[in-house]
Amino acid sequence: MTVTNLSYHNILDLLIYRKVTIAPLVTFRILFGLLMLVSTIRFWANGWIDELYIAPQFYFSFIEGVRPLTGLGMYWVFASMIVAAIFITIGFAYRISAISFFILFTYVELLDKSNYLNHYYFVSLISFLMCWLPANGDFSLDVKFGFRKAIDQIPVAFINILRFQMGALYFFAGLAKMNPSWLFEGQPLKMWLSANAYKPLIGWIFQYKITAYIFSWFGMIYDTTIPFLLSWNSTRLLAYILVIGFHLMTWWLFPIGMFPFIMIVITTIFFSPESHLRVLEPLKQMVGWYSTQEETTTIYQGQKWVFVAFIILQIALPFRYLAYPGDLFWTEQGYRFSWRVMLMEKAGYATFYVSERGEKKRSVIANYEYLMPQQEKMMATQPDMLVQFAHYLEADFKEKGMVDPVVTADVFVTLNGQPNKRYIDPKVDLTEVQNDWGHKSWILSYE
Amino acid sequence: MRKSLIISALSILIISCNSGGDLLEKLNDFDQGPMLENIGDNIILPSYQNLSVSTLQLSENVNSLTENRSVDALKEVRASLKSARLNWQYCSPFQFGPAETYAISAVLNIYPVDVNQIERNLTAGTYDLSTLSNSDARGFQTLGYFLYSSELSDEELLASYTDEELTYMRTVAEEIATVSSEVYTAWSVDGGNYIATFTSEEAYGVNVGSSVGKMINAMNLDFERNTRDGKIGIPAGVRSLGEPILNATEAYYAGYSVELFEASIDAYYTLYTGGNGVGLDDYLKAIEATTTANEDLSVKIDSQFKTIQNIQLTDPLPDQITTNIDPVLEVFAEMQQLIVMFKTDMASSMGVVITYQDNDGD
Repeated sequence: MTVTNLSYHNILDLLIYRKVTIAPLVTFRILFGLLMLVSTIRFWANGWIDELYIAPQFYFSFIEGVRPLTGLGMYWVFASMIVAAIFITIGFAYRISAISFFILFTYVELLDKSNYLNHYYFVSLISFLMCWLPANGDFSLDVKFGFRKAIDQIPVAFINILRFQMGALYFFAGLAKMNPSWLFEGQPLKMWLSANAYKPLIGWIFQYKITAYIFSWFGMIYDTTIPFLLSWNSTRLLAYILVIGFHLMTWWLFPIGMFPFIMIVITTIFFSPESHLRVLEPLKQMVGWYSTQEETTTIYQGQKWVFVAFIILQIALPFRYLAYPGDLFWTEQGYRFSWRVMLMEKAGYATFYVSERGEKKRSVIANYEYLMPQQEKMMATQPDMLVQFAHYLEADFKEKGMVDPVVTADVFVTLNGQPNKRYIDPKVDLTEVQNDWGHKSWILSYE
Repeated sequence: MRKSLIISALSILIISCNSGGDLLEKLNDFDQGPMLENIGDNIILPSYQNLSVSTLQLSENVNSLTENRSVDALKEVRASLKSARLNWQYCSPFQFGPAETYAISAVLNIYPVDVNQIERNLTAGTYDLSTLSNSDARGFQTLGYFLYSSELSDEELLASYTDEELTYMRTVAEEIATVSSEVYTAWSVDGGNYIATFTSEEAYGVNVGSSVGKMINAMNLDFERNTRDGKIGIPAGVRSLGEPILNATEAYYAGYSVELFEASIDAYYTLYTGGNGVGLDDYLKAIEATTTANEDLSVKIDSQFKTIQNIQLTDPLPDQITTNIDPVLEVFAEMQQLIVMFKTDMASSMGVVITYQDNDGD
């Protein structure tokens, strides 16, 4: 097909309907399942279930009322995730396992904003997509036991939707880096990299300003272009080498856990369906797998609409910040769920005051009596969390006998190495403020 | 095409950076090694050594008192209690590593003590002071409770001691000395050699588990909870709608709370300046990112320390609080300012990945 032939129908065919081997979806299922298995076990082994979901007395939940289970409940949640991840890998009761994994994982992420990470959000999205894809169509126990028919060919849309999600992550992360601080001041990388100057071998390069600029610009160009470089046959191999190098570098420099490995492994979805087949075939032979009757599947109307809605939402969400006045990095209105990854250095300190309405006497709150250090740290720079904690204090003081508590907060925040500034209006009674989609006018301006 | 893209991007980069020519300049030459060695060898180690020596002296003096109930012996015990307490102030910021392992703070300096619990233990005759349930029935303030009396003269006090009380004091003092010695031994070169871990190259950096990371986190935590809240805020009533809680002062019975507080601020200032060597202030000076044209963070923090030190408080602190609380609240507010600088500007500019738990970042 030549470029001039690209009509509307041809494009649709190329992106959606064209039939390809199911192999990429199958390898993706196996790799994703294994990664989730390792991640969940690692989370458990690090003692984070207790530290993050049992020990705290208060949670900054995303949705009011979504709370951790009590007792051993959270351990059961993670145990179920482990089982679901295994089942996804081996393709056993796949649909129900994928749905369970998505629900459980997302539930855990919704429990506390303090633990929000873009890569957890990414896992939630991928596992959502997995619920809609016939990734157990081949080389799965479901097929072996005859729970479903084997599939040989799938519409390429099933692969492209995953590629879209990965591409969106990179592209928007790159777009977000196109800001003056990142490009022209080399911040926050100047601060972050110079802290690594002690490292062996190449640590010395982080002493130089120019290194911060080169890393900043390279990161921006890498993120915005890598989805395209991965998509073209001629640049794919080079792009994948870059992917490996880039993520290993970030893993070496920053404490970002499993994320680099997740990206390195599942970026393989960009490789051609045929190359996936070449990897999968020997694997199948090794375990003596043979498929009988193989069929072709199509994309259903319902799936199509889910994917269209998904894509529109994914493109729209990173731009929602435009609806709010003020500096995005400062106010963080529209910051989350937008692939703003390792973009700024922000630290704050919040002092809360509680008093009976109309009375002068007030108490200064010891945050550490209510919050875990990580929660306190995250709260101090994120306005919606300040409001949540203020409401919690209101309830707590009412319980202690106060009739109508007034809660105010004096907060100081430093952004990208600038001297700390007062963050919110210290006179605003935060018990009167609600967290909604509206602009938070009580955040002081950054200028 | 790609090459030209990269070249044009690079030229945009070079043109757009107004710093143009000094791109090859170094961000900082700071080497954590000398700082960690200075703080470890010249500040932490001697502090724990002093504590270990003075608590042993305290324990010996308590023993002498039980053998010979004299006013002189009583005065000696009091003097050694005070010197041990002063020495503790210089260890308190460094509650990581061995101090954490042995939970030294919970053994030495929980206050206010629970007088009822102490009396219950005395009545029962048997008690295990090493248990957590007795954490507010031991330590320095328990000794203070026995050694000072607002009603009795020294002679009367001496005469009032029962054998059980003297045994209790001996047990408390021994426990203090034992834990202090254990922590010092764990730090010392001849003992656990934690000093080597602290200054080793593997512990460089600012990540979780790095020496700077541990030290900054321990220091912030102790400053907030013990120096700001424990010594000043809580007694002054900042946590209780302005209602002072006088018996929550450190050294409530002995009456030298302000002196201990001043020692604590001095300990922090010494850690900050590194005494006569490389300290946190030199670190901050070396990190160019922190300094803006008209504000040098290291100077800002230094003058904040001086502001705190210049506010006059007088012992006993409960009297100061009841008669003239304003300077007390002022000290609290200025410490609040200092902790803001510690936890925002300083933590941020040091390279940040100073996290409070080893979670993944992104």
